[in-house]
Amino acid sequence: VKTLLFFILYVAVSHSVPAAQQPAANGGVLRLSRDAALRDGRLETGTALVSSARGLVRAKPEVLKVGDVELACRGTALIAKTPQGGVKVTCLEGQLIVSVAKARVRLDAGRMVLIDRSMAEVPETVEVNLERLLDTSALTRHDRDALPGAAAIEREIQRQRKALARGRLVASGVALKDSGHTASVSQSSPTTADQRGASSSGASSASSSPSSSASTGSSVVGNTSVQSATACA
Amino acid sequence: MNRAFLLTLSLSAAEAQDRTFSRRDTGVPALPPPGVRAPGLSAEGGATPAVTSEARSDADLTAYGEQEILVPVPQWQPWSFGFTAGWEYQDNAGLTPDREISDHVYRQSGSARFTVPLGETRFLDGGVQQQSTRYADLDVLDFDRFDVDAGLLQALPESWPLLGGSVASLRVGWYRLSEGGQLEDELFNNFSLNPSLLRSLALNPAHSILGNVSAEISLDSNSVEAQRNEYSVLVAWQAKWSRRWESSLYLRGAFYDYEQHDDWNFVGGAAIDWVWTSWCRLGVVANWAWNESDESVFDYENTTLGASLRLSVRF
Repeated sequence: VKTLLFFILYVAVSHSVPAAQQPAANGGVLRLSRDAALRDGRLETGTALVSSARGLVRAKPEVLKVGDVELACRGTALIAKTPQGGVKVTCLEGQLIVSVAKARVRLDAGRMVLIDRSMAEVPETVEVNLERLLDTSALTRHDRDALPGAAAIEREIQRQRKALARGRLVASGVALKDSGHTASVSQSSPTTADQRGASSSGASSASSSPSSSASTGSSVVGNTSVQSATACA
Repeated sequence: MNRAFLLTLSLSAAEAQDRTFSRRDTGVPALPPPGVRAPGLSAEGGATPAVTSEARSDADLTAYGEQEILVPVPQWQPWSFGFTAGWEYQDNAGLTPDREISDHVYRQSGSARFTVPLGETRFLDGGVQQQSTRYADLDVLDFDRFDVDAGLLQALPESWPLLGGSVASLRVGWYRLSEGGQLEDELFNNFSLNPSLLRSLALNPAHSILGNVSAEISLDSNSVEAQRNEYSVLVAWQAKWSRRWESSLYLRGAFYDYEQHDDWNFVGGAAIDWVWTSWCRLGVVANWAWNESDESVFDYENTTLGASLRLSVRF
């Protein structure tokens, strides 16, 4: 029983307490998930939070490689190697230059991109809810103020809140969890077939950019369960 | 006068292209159809609150967290205001066939436009613009120009062969030229009917080609000698190299039908813009203009090199 309790405690603690913050190569900071492996600036598994240094003089970007993708971060970003071998990147503030083969794309604050392992180009990006992301990530839930870009992140959250309040952005109800590619659709009220169709198309669009194959997933939807085809990479 | 018109045309063509792109760039994820509430929205239209920090226990956390997709909603912004200030060097500022005189020219202009949708594909558009042109040495050529125009824009159905996706417009316009700094001294005025057809073709997200065919049929003027009908074709290639840098190449050919002579006018040019913010950009432009008239006194060639600051806001 003691062993079991210790095990449960260990699992709970290891998932909730963020890894220690460590200095990054160019003066910024780096947080790694428990399962992350970083060797020679290359993220081999897991999730990393990178925040580049600030200053009056523009600091060098923090550069991280994941597979064939190179990420130059001037700001703060969540970066993960997906279970399928791809890359998931979200810019929390500032900007990222994402390079794949000869293609280079700028990722602005609030934007996320999923890049499949076999892709030679950077697909289209989507906007994600930063407040929800930061509250549900073990790397950002605690000690957010210790990040160099904490104030800028807060400004981006305020920007999204304002856009949501003014109707310039709407929540799609489609969400991806952790470093995976599968999207789930949440619905708070009974829906018509049309609404479900709209939700599914949203899910499809949300994750269609990096998709090279599709899988059928079961998504828990409020009080109901909807069998929806979600496009997954 | 020709150059001022060219500038106005190229700017309005570029603005029209922007409008075309903004319809395309409304966001990656598809929006629910009109009348269908997006899942995750409350009845009042606000976003359903995400699970709060307090309600979520640390054991629920994952390394990356949850990524809820937000969908941009296109917002119609009917008003646009612009201000442009620019300097340019001209090697034949007097537009003469010989004895060319170079000069430095300073221009500034302010404009206001109002565009209101009348349906899914039809718009009512109107605007005013005041422009001042001042020459460093040839100050006898200084002039001010005031423009007013209004018209209908119609986006043609995508299913139409060849012309699908083009924007057709029919405007009425009036402009007045006066001595520089002396608005009461009118030099010329012209009232015209301006049909046009604009086609924008995106080659990829960064490159596009623009084509515009237009006419300016003069209905009334205070000077028969300067009054003309104008028929023009514009082709431009625009590229966005990064968020900061954009460039364009353009070529325009026009036929000017005056009462006493006919002119062929050609302009080719290149422009590079540095985009500072969504409302402010700096640009450099180089162009070459060539006018061939059946009255040789109106022949000229002129090369221009300039820089400008452009401010624009929409709401």
